[in-house]
Amino acid sequence: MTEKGERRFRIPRRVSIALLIVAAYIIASLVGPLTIRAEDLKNWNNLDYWDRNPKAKPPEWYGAFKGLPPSEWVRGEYRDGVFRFTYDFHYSLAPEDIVVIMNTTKSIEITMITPDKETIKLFAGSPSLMNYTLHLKKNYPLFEELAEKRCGTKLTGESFFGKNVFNTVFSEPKEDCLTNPKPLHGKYVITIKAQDSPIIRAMYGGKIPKLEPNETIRVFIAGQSHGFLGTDIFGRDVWVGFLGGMGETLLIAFAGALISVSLGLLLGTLGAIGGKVGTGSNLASRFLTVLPTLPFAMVTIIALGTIELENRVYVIKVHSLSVALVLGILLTGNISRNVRSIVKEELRKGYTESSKALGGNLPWILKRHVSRILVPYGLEQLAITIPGVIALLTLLGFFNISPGFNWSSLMSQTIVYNAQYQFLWWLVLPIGFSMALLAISFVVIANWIEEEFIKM
Amino acid sequence: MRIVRDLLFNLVLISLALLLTATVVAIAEEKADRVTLNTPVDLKTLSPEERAQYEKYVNEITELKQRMDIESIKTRVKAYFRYLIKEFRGKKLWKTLKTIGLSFAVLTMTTLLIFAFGLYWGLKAGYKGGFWDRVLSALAPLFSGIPAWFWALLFVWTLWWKWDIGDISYTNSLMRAKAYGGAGIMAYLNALLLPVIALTLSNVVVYAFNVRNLVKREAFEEYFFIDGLKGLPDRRIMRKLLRTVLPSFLTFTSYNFLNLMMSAMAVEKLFEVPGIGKVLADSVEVIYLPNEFGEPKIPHLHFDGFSIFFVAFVMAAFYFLNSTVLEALYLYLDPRREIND
Repeated sequence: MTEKGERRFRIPRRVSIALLIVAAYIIASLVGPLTIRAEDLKNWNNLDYWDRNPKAKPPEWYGAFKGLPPSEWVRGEYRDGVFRFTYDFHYSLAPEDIVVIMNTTKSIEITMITPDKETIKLFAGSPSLMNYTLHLKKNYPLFEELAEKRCGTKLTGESFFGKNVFNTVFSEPKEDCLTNPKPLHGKYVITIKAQDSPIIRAMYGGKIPKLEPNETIRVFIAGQSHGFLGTDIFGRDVWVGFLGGMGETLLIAFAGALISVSLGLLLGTLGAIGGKVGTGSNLASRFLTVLPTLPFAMVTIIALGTIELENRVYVIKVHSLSVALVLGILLTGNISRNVRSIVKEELRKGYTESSKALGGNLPWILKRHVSRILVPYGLEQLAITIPGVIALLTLLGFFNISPGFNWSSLMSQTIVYNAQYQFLWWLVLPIGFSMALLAISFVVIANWIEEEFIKM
Repeated sequence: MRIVRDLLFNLVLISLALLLTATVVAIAEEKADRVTLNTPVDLKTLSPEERAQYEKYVNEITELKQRMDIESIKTRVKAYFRYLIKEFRGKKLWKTLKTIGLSFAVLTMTTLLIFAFGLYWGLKAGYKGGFWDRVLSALAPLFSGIPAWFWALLFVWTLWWKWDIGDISYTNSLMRAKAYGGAGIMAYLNALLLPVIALTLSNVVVYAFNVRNLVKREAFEEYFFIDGLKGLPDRRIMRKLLRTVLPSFLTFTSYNFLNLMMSAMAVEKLFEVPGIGKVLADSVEVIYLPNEFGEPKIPHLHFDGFSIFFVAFVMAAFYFLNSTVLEALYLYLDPRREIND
């Protein structure tokens, strides 16, 4: 039993869970980027860097349920001037692409031996013409030939648009295997060696040209699923954008909400007490309410930052706290109007009149009485405004304004590039789910704080 | 006449807000223009003489630009206002009115639906409690934290992708209707079906929850107990409650109008409704121009300050219209305010 007047302070389970969720997000935003390759983070806006990855593909864990091949580097071995890579294919769909990255100036020949022992010549030529990165799916003449030979489909006048060209390789030869493939499971051996011809031999002094062990060659299978959260339409790893942008997003959200609520409390309270300062504050808060938030936020962020062209991408460089300040100020209007109403109502109440009669001055009344109402209200508003700032930030991304590296840049993909026509749920759900989780957690915490204040 | 004084005051505030917006738009446009003109020079490759000459040249240009910027920003601000007037004149008038009208239609339909469903749900949940109150209380934090565009996207994927309800593109829907025998009022309504549903569903919970809270607060008032004790029918008590909470609900609606408009703009972009949301989305974009091989590889930043300012103006005009209507309604519902204030 506790003594009278003394109350045991106990955090309810739902609040503990909410606090844990918020803490988990904060820890993830701090530790998360350390778990990602620094190169990936640095090159987020460099679209050429992500060219190797498959485009707009779902996460690997989802692919595991659907039998989709994941992206992977294929293990290889070097023997007698030849690189051999073995790919174990046991999926329901053919991979999107096979990317060969070469560190050699010699002309090469790539062949593949399928499980049904057919040898397919995938490429022959100089890697320098391909900038030393060969996307085999772009070898259209080969696939036209394969489509005719293995699938009985003559593609004259037709394009491969919307079709996976590797169906011609990774499926059993049958009529219409390009559009209706029956996967041919088993081990596919990719052999890469130096191209041989009388002219080339003459260039090498009559010797048979062969690759050296230091001429590294790597083979990457761009699968139908990729990474922990899939890829966007540029092939960027969504997990990198989600985890890498989380820190800045949360910083902007927390700082923006804090600015918004602090300014709202200040303007609202001053606006309620009258006088010149009060009139000025009231005017300022009304002015903030009528500002066209979205276009104003868009142009203010550009005005405060700089626009730079990096790797064919325009990037808005602006300090996160500047973004927080802009969004925080723009969200102040409604809070300050509500605070003003609350303070005015409290100052009209009987107990305030009694306090005045007993000699209490306005600052004392505000501190002693009104603050007891304003503090829980402020904390509640803080909890609501944090997800509100994230929402506004992502909304800016919709309208092509992505300041810095945060969730706005990831979000903008969905709408800017008409991704609504593709079912790219992995681009939207992680952020939407996080926003929902954070919003619910903050509301639970805010309600609890309010309840505790009422008890006091 | 308090309403006239309030309207005039709102007009002054909105004019000031537009002036500030125009100034910031001008600064941003200036920056965007400068990016496309900047040519990077590698200083390491220059000799000391060349570098000194280059730096002198850069300083002169910077000073000149600084002097010109003030002029240029002023000029731009004036040009934005002139552009606004031109948009409402001659041949452009019809197109401008159509753009504004579409956004207005989306907002009006959504507001009416939100009012109808939000008030009914909120009243029922607040007065009777039970299942609908539990549902509302559970959904409110979820809907208040997640923006409308997210729900809109989910609705696109469920209503349109899965169940084939409505049309994802307003423009395509109308074009199809015109091709098959003309676009009547039903064709327009069908084209706006998904945007309005998405916007209503994503906002109605928050509005209903607000009504529910207002009703719950009223439940502690004396008259409410007396009405109950007198044995008045539920419908009559609810009607009375509605009348009491409506002024506070209107205040909430008024404050939330800009939020609703922002959501509507995102939804417009999503469903390709050529309203002000689409205008804003098209005003800042990167266009890829063809390189020497004809491939669209050269990025060009398109920043249209005029369109951004136009959208800001329409938003301000909508806000003014909304606040005027709500203010009039407020005074009609609660005439004490005229005296008390």
